[in-house]
Amino acid sequence: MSTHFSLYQPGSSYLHRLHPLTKLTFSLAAAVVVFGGPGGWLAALFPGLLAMLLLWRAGLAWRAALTIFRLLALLTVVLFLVHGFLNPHNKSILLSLGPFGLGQEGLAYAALVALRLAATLAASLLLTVSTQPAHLVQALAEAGLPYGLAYLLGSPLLLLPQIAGRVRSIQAAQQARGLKTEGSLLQRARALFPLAAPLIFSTLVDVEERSLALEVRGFSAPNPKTSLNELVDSPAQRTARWIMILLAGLLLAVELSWRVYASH
Amino acid sequence: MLIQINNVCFSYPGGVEALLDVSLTVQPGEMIALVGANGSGKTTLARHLIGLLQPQAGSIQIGDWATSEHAPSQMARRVAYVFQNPDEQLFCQRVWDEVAFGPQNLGCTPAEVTSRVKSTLEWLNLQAEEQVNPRDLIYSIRKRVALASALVMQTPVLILDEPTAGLDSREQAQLSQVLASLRLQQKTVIVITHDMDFAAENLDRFIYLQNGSVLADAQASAFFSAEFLSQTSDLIAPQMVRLSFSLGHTQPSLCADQLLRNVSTG
Amino acid sequence: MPAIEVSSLTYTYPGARAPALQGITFQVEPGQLIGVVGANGAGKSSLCLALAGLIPALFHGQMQGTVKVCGLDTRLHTPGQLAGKIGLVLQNPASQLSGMRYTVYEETAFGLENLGVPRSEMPARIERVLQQVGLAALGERSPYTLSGGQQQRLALASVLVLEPAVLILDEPTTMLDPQGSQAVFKIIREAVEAGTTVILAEHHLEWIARYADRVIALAGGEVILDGLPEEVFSSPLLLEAGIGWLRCTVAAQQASPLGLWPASMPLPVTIDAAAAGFSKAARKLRDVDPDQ
Repeated sequence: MSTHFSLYQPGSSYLHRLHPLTKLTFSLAAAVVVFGGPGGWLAALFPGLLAMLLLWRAGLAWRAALTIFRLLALLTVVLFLVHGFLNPHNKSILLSLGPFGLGQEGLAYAALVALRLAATLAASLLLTVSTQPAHLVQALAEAGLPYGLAYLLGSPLLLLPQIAGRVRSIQAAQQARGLKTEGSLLQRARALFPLAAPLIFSTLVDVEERSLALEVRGFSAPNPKTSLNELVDSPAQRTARWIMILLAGLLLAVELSWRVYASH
Repeated sequence: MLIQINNVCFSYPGGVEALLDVSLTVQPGEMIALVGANGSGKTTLARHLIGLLQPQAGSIQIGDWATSEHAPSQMARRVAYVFQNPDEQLFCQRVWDEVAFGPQNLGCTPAEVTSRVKSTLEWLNLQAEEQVNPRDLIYSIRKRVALASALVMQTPVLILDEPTAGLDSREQAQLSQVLASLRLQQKTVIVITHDMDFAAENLDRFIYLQNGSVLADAQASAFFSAEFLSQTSDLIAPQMVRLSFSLGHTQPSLCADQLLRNVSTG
Repeated sequence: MPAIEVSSLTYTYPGARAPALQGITFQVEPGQLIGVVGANGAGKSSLCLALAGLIPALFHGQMQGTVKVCGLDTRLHTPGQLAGKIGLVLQNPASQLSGMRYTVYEETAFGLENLGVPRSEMPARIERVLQQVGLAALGERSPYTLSGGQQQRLALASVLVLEPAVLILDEPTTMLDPQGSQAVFKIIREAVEAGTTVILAEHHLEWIARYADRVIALAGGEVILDGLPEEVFSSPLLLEAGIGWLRCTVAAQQASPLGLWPASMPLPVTIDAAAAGFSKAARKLRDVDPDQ
């Protein structure tokens, strides 16, 4: 029996009740500021902290933090190693390991990249944890985006729900044919190869059947769609969205003009 | 090979109790129908037999091997399991490779693998599909390939999960013949099934699970004479059994020949 | 106007050597329950997809002949346009979930939203159909936490809520246990009583024999039999086509030469008819030989 695996957490916090476009604007604006805002560290830190604060007020901070950790932990370690040893700007060596040295500049850079990724992730989690993909699609469609495009943007996790359960079933079936899945790391890695084909095939069969079921329920009907749920918007939210867009644009402009100025 | 299931208790993470103190003994060569509603614990019990699940209390022995001491890939030498959905089991580009997968994992020599695969494909009438990609075959033939890839392991115990689901009557007759062969070879066969007609005609002992406990365990004739059968909606008695009772027979018939004998003796 | 009109339907999948359907012709009046039987590969699924208008629209390939459902030619209308008139339920309960809705209630609303039904009409229709399929108490549950039988009833609900004139089911009970199957059959019967035309492709011959108004048997993509259940299910053609007979029919046929089945009675296709026949023959034997 598979569970509905996705980042969305059902709930009734204030975040859940915000209009999807407001949250989407926040995520996009935050990403712009994190990567393109002035002040390096501060540009990355501020939106990230703001996102976590907003998530904390909604009681979703723990969940977000765990997700960020799970997704970025390994990558962060790799970043530190790569830039620590190999960054061309490394001058002050903190630690020597044979012919290789861990450079302070490299480590600092890795830390900045990790921070930027974490901040962007936090801001996008604010959207995905509190918004049903269907509602985001509805919001985009109501804003004028063609429905097909809205669907593509709003439902990236459509296939994930059953993949976890299916992986387990396939592994069980293969173990039953004598495939060793325990043992050395190499053996366990080898055991993953036969997993790919049945996973893809049964997913494809599933996708085909699902698309038939969607068609039969009028997914591609030519008329405009209606919706069961009303998405509540407000002038306050609309204003907030404009402010976020303008602020992000302003900060980006400041940073870009600074860079242009600094290179002369 | 003797199967001993002793006081097995198992709950899934999340607290769903799947097996409550189940104890069973299966003698070598028995042909068993494991029946009950979906969610009654049939598949859970079957997965315990190949060691995919470990009981939280109690133990399971296949011959002299305790399932707690052997990995599923080891248990596969004694128990072959055919899952209900063939698409989760098939992953090779050709039927031949698919059927060869098991023996290769068991460490057979290439010559042995070839001879086993050849004879199994012949047995199940799959020679024509030898070089075909299983994904290009229709559902019921994919099921047959999945069955072949388990039979080729030549284990003493075989578990089949809903083998007749989706099969037409000709394919069911073929499956009947396979079961008859297995009976001659004295294999222990456990079939999880909802198809009582098929079970009554091919299997001997019926084990009925409800909510994780064994509610009934008897040979076919006694099983279908029992009171509970008329009170439960989990099972639909075979046509011959229902017909026997409609005609007022004291003993249920399990097949047409038996019914006619009972009818002619008045 | 017939609910379904199929005329010389021939269809070949892209890249296939032989047609999946050949020269199929039949008509169905509104409100009838038609059983479709056939061995695997005989064309049951292809026929279901063609009746739903998904062949040839989604599968392309080559189609000759016409399929008209509620007067609409399936080649002149897209599946999107046919969606409100024709419902289709398939074998696998889980893969019919949209994957885009988090509750049973919203999943049922999905089709209504697609067809542009006004929001004010939705709650009443959803609640009615959830009652109909017995899922009213599970409205707030996630579709993925339902059992297979419940998911199949949800698939039925999400199609019935659109109030289709024609409902097509392709082996809907294959993955279900007896309880689940009986629940689905009950919903089908009630839909027929409410006036929906139902096409049911199945391997479970017993239920069709009992409740269908008519049975169409397919073999090799062609219609080999089309008639009342009593006629079709006792035809020798069924045996040759790999579809088989019900056990009670086989028993009666074996009984006939032994004098255990009345020569005047046609072969039974239901348990009740079989019991009646065997009893009658037994009484006759007792009458002939009073000492017995």
